[in-house]
Amino acid sequence: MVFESLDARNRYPRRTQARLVDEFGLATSGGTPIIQARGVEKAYRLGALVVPALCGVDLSIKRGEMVAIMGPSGCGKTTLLNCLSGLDDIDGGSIHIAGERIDKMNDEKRTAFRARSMGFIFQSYNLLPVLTSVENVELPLLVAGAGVKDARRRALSALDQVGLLDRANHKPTELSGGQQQRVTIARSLVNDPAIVWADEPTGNLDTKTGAEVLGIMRRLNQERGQTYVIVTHDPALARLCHRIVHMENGVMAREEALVEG
Amino acid sequence: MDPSLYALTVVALVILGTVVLARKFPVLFRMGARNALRRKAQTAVVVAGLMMGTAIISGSLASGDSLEFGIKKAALDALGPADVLLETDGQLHYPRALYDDLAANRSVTGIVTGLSPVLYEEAAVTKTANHQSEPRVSLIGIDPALNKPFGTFRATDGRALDASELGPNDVYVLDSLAKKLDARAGDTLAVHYSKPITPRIPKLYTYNGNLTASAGVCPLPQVPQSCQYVAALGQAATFQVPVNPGAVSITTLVAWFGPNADHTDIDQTLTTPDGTLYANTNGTPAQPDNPSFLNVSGPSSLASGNWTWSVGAKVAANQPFRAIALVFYEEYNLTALQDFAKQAGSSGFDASQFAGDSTGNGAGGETADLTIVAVVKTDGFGGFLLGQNVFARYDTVARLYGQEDKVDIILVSADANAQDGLAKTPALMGLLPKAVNASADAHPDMPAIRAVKALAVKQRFIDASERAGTLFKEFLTTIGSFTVIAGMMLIVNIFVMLAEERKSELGMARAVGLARRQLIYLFGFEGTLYALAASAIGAVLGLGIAWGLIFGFNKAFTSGPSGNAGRLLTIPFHFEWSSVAWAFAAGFMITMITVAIASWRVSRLNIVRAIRRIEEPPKPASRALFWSGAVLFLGGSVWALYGFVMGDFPSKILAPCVALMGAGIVATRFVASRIAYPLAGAGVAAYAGFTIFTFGNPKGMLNAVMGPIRGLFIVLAVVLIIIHVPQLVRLTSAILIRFRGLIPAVRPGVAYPLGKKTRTGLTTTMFALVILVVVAFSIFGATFTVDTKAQSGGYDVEGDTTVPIGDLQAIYAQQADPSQPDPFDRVAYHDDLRYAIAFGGRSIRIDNESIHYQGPPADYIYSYNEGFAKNNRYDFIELDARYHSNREAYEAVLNDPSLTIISVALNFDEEGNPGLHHVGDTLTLQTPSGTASFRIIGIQKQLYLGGLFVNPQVLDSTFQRIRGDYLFKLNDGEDPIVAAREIEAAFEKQGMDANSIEQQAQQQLEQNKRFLTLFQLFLGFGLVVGIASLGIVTARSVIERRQEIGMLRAIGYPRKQVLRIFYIEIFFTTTLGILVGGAIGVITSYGVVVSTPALASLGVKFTIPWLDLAEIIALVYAAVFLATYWPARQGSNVPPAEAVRYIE
Repeated sequence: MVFESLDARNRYPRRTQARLVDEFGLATSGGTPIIQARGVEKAYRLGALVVPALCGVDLSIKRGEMVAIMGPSGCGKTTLLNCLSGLDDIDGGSIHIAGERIDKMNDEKRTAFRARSMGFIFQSYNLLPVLTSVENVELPLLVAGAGVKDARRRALSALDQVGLLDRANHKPTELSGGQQQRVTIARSLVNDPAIVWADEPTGNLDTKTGAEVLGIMRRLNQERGQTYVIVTHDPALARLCHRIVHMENGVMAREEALVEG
Repeated sequence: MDPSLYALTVVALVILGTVVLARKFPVLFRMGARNALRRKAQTAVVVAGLMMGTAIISGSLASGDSLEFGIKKAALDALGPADVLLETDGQLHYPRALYDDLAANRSVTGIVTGLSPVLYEEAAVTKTANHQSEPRVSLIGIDPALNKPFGTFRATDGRALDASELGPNDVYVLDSLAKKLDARAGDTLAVHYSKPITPRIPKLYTYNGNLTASAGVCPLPQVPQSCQYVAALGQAATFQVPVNPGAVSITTLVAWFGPNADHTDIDQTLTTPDGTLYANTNGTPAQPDNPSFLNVSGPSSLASGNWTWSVGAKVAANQPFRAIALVFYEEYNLTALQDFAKQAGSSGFDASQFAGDSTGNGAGGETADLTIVAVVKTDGFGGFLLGQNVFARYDTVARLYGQEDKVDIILVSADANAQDGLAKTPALMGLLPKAVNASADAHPDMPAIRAVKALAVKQRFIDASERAGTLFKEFLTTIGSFTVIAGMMLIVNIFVMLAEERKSELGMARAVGLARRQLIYLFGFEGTLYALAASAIGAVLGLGIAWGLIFGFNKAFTSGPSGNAGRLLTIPFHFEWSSVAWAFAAGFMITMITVAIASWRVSRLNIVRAIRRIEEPPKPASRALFWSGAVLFLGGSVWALYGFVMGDFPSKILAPCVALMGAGIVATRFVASRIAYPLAGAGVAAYAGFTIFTFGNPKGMLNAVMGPIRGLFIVLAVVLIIIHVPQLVRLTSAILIRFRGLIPAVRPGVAYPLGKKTRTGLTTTMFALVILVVVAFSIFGATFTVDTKAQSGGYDVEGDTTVPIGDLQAIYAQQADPSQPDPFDRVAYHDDLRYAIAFGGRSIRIDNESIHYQGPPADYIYSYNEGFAKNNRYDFIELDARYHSNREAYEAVLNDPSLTIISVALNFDEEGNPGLHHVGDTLTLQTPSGTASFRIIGIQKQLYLGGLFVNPQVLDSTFQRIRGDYLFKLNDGEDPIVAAREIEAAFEKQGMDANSIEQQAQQQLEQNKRFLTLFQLFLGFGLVVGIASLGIVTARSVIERRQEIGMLRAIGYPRKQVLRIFYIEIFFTTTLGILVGGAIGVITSYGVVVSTPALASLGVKFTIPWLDLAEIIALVYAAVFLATYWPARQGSNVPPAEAVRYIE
């Protein structure tokens, strides 16, 4: 029902599965994995103490999939997200993103890769408080080399997609939590990334606002065929995804495939 | 009790209060202490930032202590046990009989421990073997036995010397002089000297008479030799001429007036009171233009009493005659000279050939070869009066200078211990003038004794040292006050950031029950520990700053020209513990007050927002703020009214600024603060700037205080405008996005500083304040610079001799060395001046006001020749309208001893502003024997020959030690430095010290520049505060924005772009500070210059030294880059995964 209510605000035509296959070479389920992690290991060193966070994780995610990673606190969900997205190094195993092995890339290459191909949504929004909404959204475009005017145009378009065009010149302190998260979403998709990584995107939001935000993410996943990897505690959010991966103690405990939405 | 102990008592009370609170709230104290020690690196940075203000205060006070100590030490070294000097103004010679009388005076000998008669002369010396010469040394003649209480001599090898072993042609030479001459014991020293000039001033007596022949006794035309005409009955031919004690000669002149003037002759006789007859009976025709002379002079004074003067003739027929008697006295009596000129003028007598007739050798000097028997150290008497000293026996010097039985200084010691002597000096000063007067009464034929004064020189030096020390401290603390203010802002910045860092833990503390005041205590405990450490370290560091300043001062001072026969004063580093205590106390209290304010601010946090680390929303103007603004506005308005009605300078400046700020605060109730504050700031800046251009500068300490306060107001106002102007972000962004590589970093980099208004405002203000003073100093250094052409008067070389040389070319012809080039080949012409120096600053008053000296007081009195009057290009600021050209004015002084022309050097007020006096004012010259007045007919623009210009007879009749000054104009294309060297070599025997005027001006400029650089370095500590602040702010920013940095890295910002964001922020803030401070510095300097119209008349042109300023700005940017590199780099290297989850 939430998504039906959002249809009225949907300004873009629905894309058929066929068109998704044509454009992105994949279907909403099945096809070549865009993310492939094998035997990923990661440990944290606190002085002499070594704390294993990931103990040989294998995970494949297909293009266009929306995958939720769940588990108790300290099980390694966020660590896995950080490693898969290239934000952090791994101690063992391998990670391939769209066929490229990112764990072997140096920091500069990984950063450039992220700028081209990835978007991020954080629990605490992580917007720059001194910039307006549109200025926050255009940051990924500027760093990717877009011209100033082009970046502005596309940022406004992205804000429009999340329904915040009228708040383009407001600073984060002038927006509600939900609005800030929507700005974050706009920022995550402005450079048309193949993968969006989200860490507890609704963690700081109330139920209603969280549902709205989820709706936008789901719509964008359906329309654009972007792959979403979401770390969450929220079962409602998880149930919106194509698959839930459960982690315990740094390993994949089980997977759960869900009915397509 | 030492006042610094009161300050320490206050500190102790504050610490005691803290201890009491710590005992009452031990947990809070432990928290505060642990916070202080938790991150040692951060604590070190905080303490380093806090201690800057203390260091500046300590440095200023210790520098003043050093100067005071240095001058005092120099005085004690120079004088040793000598507490009082008996000498005349102008240091004339006076009879040794005074010493004999004092030595026989029991009340004097009862309280003194030493009395020594000294001859203190100037000479030039040459070491014969190698022709190394020194143009100006002090040749000191002492009686070794009598001089012992004033110190003995020690050879450089450590031997104690007995001066009584000095032979009649032996000398001791001071080690520094020996080094210059490369001389040692056994060498022959040629001493070039000249006997001092002694003026003879006549008293004039006029008589009229008539001579007739006895009828038939003396027939015309052939007149028998035996025939004598006498005065007709009732008519005078015999007169009485009064001769007072001390007269040295009489000249009588008689001339006929009448139809038979060309057929007659005159005979004269003069008969002394004891009957000795002097006669001129050679039959002079005695025409009015060729009178009959009779001159009587003797080896010693003439007999006093009435002399009988008879006038007779062999041929006459009722011939009227006029007789003038001139009785000459050897004295320096300007009043008597001027009286004689008036008398002569009113009687129609042409006195020019008699006025100021002088004896004494002015024609080139003499040379005596003396033997150096030892080179002595400055210990004991060797360093007497800090001169380049040569010591000989009294009789040796007396013989050379023709001053047998004369002295010019009598040394008096009240105690062998220099310090104890000071304490006993008042008693001595009560006794000595009476003893001197008694001696003068006993010797009426020695009028010079009456002119002798007792000078408590040691006490004067001590007083001068204290004044100098205090002035220096005031000057340094004034210019350092900007740094202190910047330091206070840094403290506020630091504590606001510390509060930000601990926001959530403070919020938690409040949530669990900590009261607001307990939060203040918490920060207060931590702040006290920082304050104690920072003040202690800062007070000690300040001593290092003072050491550096004094080292630089000595280097700058000793690099310049050496001056007149003096070893230069070297200031030793010294400090008083009371100064350290003051600095510690001041730094501690400044920190504590600022900590208290910052703590109070922190305690107002919102608990929930603090815990959740949510930014505080912009607060609407509260009622308390409104009423504060209202009070400021109303109070400021009333204060301003008072200021303008009563004419109170500080009130007129400050009160309207306060009222405007109050109005701004009130306005925030009705309009947005981004409108209200910039408008208020604009008003304050405009008004304060207006006052610089129109109100001028007050006098004295008020100016020293108002300058920094006014500057602070303007800077704060401008910064207040700037940080509320959003267009600044757009403008800067528009400029920087032209650089493609910077595009991703521009918006975040520029937006952050103006997003944190308080922090950026404080940092910008800190920078701006110090840049303002540095820029102002640079501008003043460039503006008040020497214009060589104007100062040289059209001449290229100046030569100076200890005694005047009559005819330079004639003297050169006598002594020329054919193997050396003729210096006159390079010279187009030269003009001769003579001058005397009166030390002490008591000789000149203009319109009853003393001259305001900017340096050591010494009056220079010049006279000049016709050539100078014709050739010199010294222009006037003011000239009497009676004279239609400069030359006319200069020639008027040559002809009239009651006129004078003065240099602008004598025309400054207390603040150093010219234009104090004007043409037509009366200048009074205080001489050893009286006072004389002159009318000022011109005020010169030049400072080079800084003194007054008078008639030559005035100079000769007033001063004994007259020096020669020669101004050479060279042929086109000649090198002044080469010419000066040749001139100096050619007149080595006369002790000529010749210099290129342009080179001297350059050296002076360079010395000024060195001093300027020194003070700019001192001010540079303020920049260190600003730069340190930026480093701290950057380090803090990295911590605060860790999550944001992580996000930027996550979305694809490479490290170098993150680094660029930080550097754009840093350089944006720095550039704001430089622009604000620089612009205000330029405007305020311009205002000071244009608001002093007299400066324009001196040819002072406002000048901005662009190159110097560019250098300073480049250094600032470089230092900023270095100071912020590490934290910025740290920020760019933040691991993204860690950062996005970072919670402080």
